Amino acid sequence: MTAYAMTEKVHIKACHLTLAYDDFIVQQDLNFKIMRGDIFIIMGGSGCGKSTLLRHLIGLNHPATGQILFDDIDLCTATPELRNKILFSMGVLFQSGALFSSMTLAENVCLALSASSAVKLTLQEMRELASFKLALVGLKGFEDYYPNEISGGMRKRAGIARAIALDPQILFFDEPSAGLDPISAKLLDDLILELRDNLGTTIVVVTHELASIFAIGNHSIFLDEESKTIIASGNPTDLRNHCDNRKVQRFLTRDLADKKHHGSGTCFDNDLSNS
Amino acid sequence: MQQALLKLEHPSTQICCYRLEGDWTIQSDFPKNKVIESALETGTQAQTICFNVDALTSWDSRLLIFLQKIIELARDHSVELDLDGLPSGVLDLLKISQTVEERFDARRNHQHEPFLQRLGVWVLDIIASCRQAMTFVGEFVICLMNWLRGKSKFKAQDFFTHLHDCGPKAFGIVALISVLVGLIFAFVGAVQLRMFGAEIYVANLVGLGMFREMGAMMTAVIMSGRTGASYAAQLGAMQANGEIDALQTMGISPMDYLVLPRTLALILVIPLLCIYADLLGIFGGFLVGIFMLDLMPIEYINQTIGALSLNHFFVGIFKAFVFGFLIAFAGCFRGLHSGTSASAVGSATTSAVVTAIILVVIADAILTVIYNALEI
Ligand SMILES: Nc1ncnc2c1ncn2[C@@H]1O[C@H](COP(=O)(O)OP(=O)(O)OP(=O)(O)O)[C@@H](O)[C@H]1O
Ligand SMILES: [Mg+2]
Repeated sequence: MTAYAMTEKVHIKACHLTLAYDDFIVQQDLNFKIMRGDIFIIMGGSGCGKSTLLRHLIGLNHPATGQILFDDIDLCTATPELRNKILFSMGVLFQSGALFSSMTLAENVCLALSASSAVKLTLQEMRELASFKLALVGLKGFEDYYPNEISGGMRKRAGIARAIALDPQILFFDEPSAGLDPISAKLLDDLILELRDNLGTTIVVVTHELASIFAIGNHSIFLDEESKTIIASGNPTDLRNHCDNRKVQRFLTRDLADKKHHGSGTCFDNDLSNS
Repeated sequence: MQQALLKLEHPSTQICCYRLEGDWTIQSDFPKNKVIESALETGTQAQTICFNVDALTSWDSRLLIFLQKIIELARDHSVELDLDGLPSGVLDLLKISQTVEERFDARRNHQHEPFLQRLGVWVLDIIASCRQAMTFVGEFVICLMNWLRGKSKFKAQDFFTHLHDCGPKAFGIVALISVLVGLIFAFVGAVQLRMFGAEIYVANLVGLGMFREMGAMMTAVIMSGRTGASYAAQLGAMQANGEIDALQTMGISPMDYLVLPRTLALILVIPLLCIYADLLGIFGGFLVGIFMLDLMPIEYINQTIGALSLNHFFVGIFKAFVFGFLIAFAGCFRGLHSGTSASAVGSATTSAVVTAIILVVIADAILTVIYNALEI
């Protein structure tokens, strides 16, 4: 593993987090730490609150209780300047892509560049950078297309290009490989690993794609809809091999039949098998 | 952040070595364009280009786009590239960016089109949109027939929601505008009529003006901005979201399901709003008559009743009915034919309001001529 992945510095820390929409509690008592250079996977069944957690992490929603700290700074209470600084250091891919429909792909990527005052690039360079980022996700030549003129998977990839435009320190990807063919998905995994290894980016990924979970993830949490909290956390491969929790097992092995695994699992012991 | 520096080294005449120093990041100060261009120029003269990164402190995509430019230049001038000196991560990222071949057929060329061509395209666009409008009206008529024969259905719930949206919710603004229009009418008339000592005819002026013309007209203008725009925005957003496509694949015609309830709601409500506007306009005139011209209330009311006949009333109501159809048509037509981007929905809304107002004014002129010919 590279030097970056091993630095034991906490980048994002969540303490006793409760996520809720008004009265409807989605997840509660979430505690986890994301280290610098981690590729951190958020897993869980559909509708369990993964995207909601992501929205809270990027500061779009405020936690009902608890705190999220970026290098010990709480986004909700930070001064506007500090808040902007943190926001400029993160890139986000939304589950729906959320590309600006009236801008071309190149303009979509350039927008973040021109919004940040720290960036010292000429217009020409911005355009080159946008082309390069699009090339990284396999969209070379599509700079002048509008989002509604490209396919769903391409839109997803363009969203990724926009997220990585500023070479951010933290990347949040909501289901980056959904809708991609296996080859593109593999290329995307490579890209994620390269970004982490070379730029030291902390990457938080929501995904169901088992192959990429095991290929890239070095830490993960498993959210459960029923108990509304984290039921397992740790390295995904370890979880698959050692976790006793039936739900986690089924998820990671895609197997509905029960297999008994024994060993020192990193998962919590609140097994829900009797529910 | 240290400044990024680019230096040239010539170990031999054949080899050109770029020495990269400092922070090559998007946040750092960068050598001037001229410096870079002349350095690249020198590179193209050599046989081999190589790199020295001993003094490079950090890098990001800035370095990558620079290298990509060099790679392209080297290819064009068939200069050999020696990339061994570069950090391995740089090479990996460059490799990823080149894994997927560029689709050259995808690239768009921006040619300046000559004036005649643009004019032609513009005319063709207009013809096409007229044809679309005709088709739309035709489809609507068929859909209306089907509905009258009980063949097509829409959700009654939807219909009542629209009814509520364009009816009761518009009471406030219609009242405000009509009272003011009645006031203005009476005021302007009073100044003229007073010269002849014929103040009492203000009642005729306001009554006829509101019933025949302004009641329907002002209601139509308000409803274009209120309801026509909202129809266009709703349908445009549905179009942008792919909801219209989804409806069609379910075998539900957008005409039946979306356009019909909206249009029916509007043409039902507009005549009623028009009556409401007529009465409030007359009330506005009444205020001027009583307080400014010192007329007796009963006198004013009698004069108004004497001036109006059922004919005048129906003239206005029929106009309102036609306007209602035109506004609903403009809103739904523009909405359904909107593009799929946020700004396209915006321009669909704008053009819905503009189209509605133009159509209303044109229809008003035509109807006035017809009424005149029929001596109503
Ligand atoms: N804006 C909202 N208002 C109210 N409830 C919401 C909202 N968005 C999501 N929810 C609810 O929160 C829960 C979690 O939704 P979320 O989108 O986070 O799921 P998810 O884990 O991302 O699922 P998926 O894998 O399908 O994307 C769901 O029960 C959903 O109904
Ligand atoms: Mg989600």
